[in-house]
Amino acid sequence: MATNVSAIPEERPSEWSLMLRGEDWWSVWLGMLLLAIGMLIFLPRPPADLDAKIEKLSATMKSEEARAPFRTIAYWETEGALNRMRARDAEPGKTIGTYLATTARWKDSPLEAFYLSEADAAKRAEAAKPRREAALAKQKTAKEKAKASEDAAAAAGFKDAALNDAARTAIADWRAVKIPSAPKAHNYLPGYLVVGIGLMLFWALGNKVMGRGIGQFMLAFPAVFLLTILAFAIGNQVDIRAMGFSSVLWSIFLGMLIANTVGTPKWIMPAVQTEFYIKTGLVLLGASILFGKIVLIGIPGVFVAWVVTPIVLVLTYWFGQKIVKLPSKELNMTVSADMSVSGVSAAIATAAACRAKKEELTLAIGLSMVFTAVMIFAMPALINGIGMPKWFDGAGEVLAGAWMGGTIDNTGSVVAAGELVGRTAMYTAATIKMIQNIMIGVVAFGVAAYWALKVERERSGTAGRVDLTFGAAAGEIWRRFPRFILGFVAASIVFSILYDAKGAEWGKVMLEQGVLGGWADPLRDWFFGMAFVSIGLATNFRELAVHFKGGKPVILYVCGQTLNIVLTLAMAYLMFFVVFFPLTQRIMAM
Amino acid sequence: MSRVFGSTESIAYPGGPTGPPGSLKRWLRLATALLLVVVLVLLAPLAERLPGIGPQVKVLRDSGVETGAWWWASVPEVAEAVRHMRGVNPGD
Repeated sequence: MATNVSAIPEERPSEWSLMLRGEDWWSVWLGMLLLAIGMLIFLPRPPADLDAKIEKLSATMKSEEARAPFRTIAYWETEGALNRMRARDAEPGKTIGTYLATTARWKDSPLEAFYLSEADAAKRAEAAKPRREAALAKQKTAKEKAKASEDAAAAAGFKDAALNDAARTAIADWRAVKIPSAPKAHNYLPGYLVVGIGLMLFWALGNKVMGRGIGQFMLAFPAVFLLTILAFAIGNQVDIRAMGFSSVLWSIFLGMLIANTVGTPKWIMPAVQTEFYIKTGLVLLGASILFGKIVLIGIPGVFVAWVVTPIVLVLTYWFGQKIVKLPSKELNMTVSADMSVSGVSAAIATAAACRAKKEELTLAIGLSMVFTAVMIFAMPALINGIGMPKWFDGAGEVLAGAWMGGTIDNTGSVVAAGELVGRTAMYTAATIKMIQNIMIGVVAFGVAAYWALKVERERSGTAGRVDLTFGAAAGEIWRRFPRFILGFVAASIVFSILYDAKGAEWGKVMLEQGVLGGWADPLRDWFFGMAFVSIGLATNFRELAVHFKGGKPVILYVCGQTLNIVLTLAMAYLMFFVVFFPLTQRIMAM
Repeated sequence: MSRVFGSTESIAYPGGPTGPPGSLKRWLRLATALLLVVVLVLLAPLAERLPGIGPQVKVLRDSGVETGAWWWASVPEVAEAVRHMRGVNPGD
């Protein structure tokens, strides 16, 4: 993020020159290069007979759906078989996946984040054996009960509502049994070496073509990389993780500790390239914004996620400018988007689009993390306390899920809160949040255009001098528009088209569980991890305190979130229980 | 910091840390802060005994949910939810 957003030179280099040397364009080129490499690795190597298997399994699922008014055991087993097909399970994707892994989860020994020997893994597996066997036995019993219930419903020709309900419940109970995975030996150290060197050369290439020195960068890079690994390790402690304090927070925190105690050593600064890491990471992130998923739960989902969200975003931004009077428009927009759209992801994309300062992004993320940690526990406590899940003959779980999905900031936290209410609530919440996540591409594009056309023109004193024609306005936007947003949007469009053209099942196997899950997503995690460490290393407590003056960002967040909570609940009720109640009944019948 | 890198100077921010770079006081501050992080990490397992949220922390820890994940693709439960919702929308 720029340190001085108003410093826009009137004489700027030609577009060709920017394309060849500019950081925005090189973020696009490098992001696209990585996506192209991912496609070359995974797309030519689909699982054997993929199309035939998809066709056969899909046909079985369809016939099972037609056979019974609920999803049968055979349906879920077939679906499980479909779900187990993953392009990243075949070589070389499998090996790449092990190298790109960040750290393992750990409980008592931090070393286990990086290394667990065969002997220790065997000991852990032995200790976990009783729990695992008990879960397997419970699953077996639950399946037998589900089978008996389904058979009884089938014997009545699936015409007895009570028997159908009993079968549906028994099948849901069987599916809800989770089998704890057996601990496996791991050694991430060789992976760190390979990924560390690979990423260092990758970023050095970008720096080289942009005309920056790479010697100092290569000396500094290991320090940023090691701090990133440390932050991943702390964020993967199981209890810290359960409370939502992820590696994002630790990355910023560790960087800030160094910056504000001994001071960030000058020799590290060449690798503190926050903007470059974020912009390239955003291009990779764009690839997983798949527009076809917007209609997953029909119009109600679109209204809760795509109508309430922009209303809350615009009203909160307006409130921040007119009532709270935040001095920084960038901070206002970043906090508003972070709170109303999807937490950290929206904060990153919006801050980059409006060129907010590092401290402003840090503040927005910090606020989001703290309030989310509270909401993970407070919302389920309130929902369960007032008995919402039991409202509308049990369909209240859908309302609770839609409410949490539309208001709690980060996807992981939404799922966690849903888990504390019930499975249907969790499924609804997770789906709503995912639909809302897709919105960040539109929000980032809109914010970048608004900043280019209005905010930056006002600052440069050109706004209001003349009325712009459509062509002139478009030219103005183009002149000031952050180019990496184009890469972000282009990646989303390309992958959305591919996903829709080849079908959702193919997309899941080859893209979500291949190019994206096995390549772009883990790389993106590394990029953002390094970006957050860089933010911390360049953030000063006192400058942060300046932005925090009078608690204005907190007031903005609390007021905006209150509006969000009220509007989302009202819209969820209206959509799921007044206008589209049959759809809610279908969700409950799954 | 080693002199291998040619400089032991730290970045001076306006209003940032004062005093000579590498002064003992600053290193003590860093050591104290890191110690606090270590203590926090060591005390983290006690979260399940916290009044009010303890049982929920335990549920979330045992469920393995990626509570801190900020993007949908990093949360396996989202894929599970998508599968569950398949066919809910008649337009699918």
